[in-house]
Amino acid sequence: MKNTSFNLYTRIGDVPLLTREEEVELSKKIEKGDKCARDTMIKANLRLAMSVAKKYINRGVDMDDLMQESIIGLTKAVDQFDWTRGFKFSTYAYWWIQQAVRQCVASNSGPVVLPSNTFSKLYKISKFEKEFKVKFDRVPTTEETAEMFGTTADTLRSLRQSAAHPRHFDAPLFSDDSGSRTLRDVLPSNEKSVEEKLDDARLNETIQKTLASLTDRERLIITMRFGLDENAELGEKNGNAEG
Amino acid sequence: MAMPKGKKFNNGYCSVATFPSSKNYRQIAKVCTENGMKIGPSNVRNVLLSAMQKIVKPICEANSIHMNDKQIMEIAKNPHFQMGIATIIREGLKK
Repeated sequence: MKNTSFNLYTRIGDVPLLTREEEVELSKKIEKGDKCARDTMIKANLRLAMSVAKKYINRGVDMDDLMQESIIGLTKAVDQFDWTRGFKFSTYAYWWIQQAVRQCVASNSGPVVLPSNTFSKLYKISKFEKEFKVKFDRVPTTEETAEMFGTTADTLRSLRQSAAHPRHFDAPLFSDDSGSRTLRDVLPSNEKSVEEKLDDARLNETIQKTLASLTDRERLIITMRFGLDENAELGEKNGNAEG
Repeated sequence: MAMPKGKKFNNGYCSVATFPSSKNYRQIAKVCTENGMKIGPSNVRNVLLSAMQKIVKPICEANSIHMNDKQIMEIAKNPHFQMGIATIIREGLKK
């Protein structure tokens, strides 16, 4: 699989780019059912497919899969290109490729599969936030963003939660893998340290020993005072040593 | 003169409201007396404090802290200490 993709990436520039006239020529042949012309058209536009796919790296989908989807989009564009309108093929194909890749990312990038329109909305939200930051030098609040997109802040929060990417505790802390620290190492833990556990155990042991040495009257009063009789009799648990 | 706010919580008797079946000194004295162990509420308090002092001493020794009787009594009376001990005993009984 790796070899196949490697071969594809290295041979991607083998077919030269097409001029507008060549595109029209090939499109005419494709209309007549020339498979060879169709292949040439696809091969000549693989660079475009790759450039679109590259934009969606690190969104939770493998590059090979992205490339495959973008080629599917490119194929659709080749089949439906109308040369009579006078536009360049790349102008038309770009949107088909982008749509295919986005759909792939939306359905594979997280634990929750989002509908493509939701994914596209999230993409627009992210774009709006970037533009807002450039313009006002601050990140817009959830309420501001929600108002801009005609939705509620709660809906927006829920959308973001659904699209969130889970992170593994054992994954390296930095993407460049420069250190050996993992996310687990830096997250604060509520669990007690070994020293604290040992201290607790020692304290517990001391108290239990002392309780065993109390008189019956003291034990009874402690039991009633602290409401221990609902669990068990203190005397039974700690023995009936007379102090 | 009114007692300053928090004074009773910091220096007074341990609150027993946290535990559902806890009893106050008066109730304990009543139960004990009814069962043939004649005892007054103040004596109940004294017995409890005596038991608490017995618990404080080995804890101080285990942690190499030297305290005189007055300091030990202060700790024994401390409501936070009493609540802590009560919690530990409850946890111990649950195990």
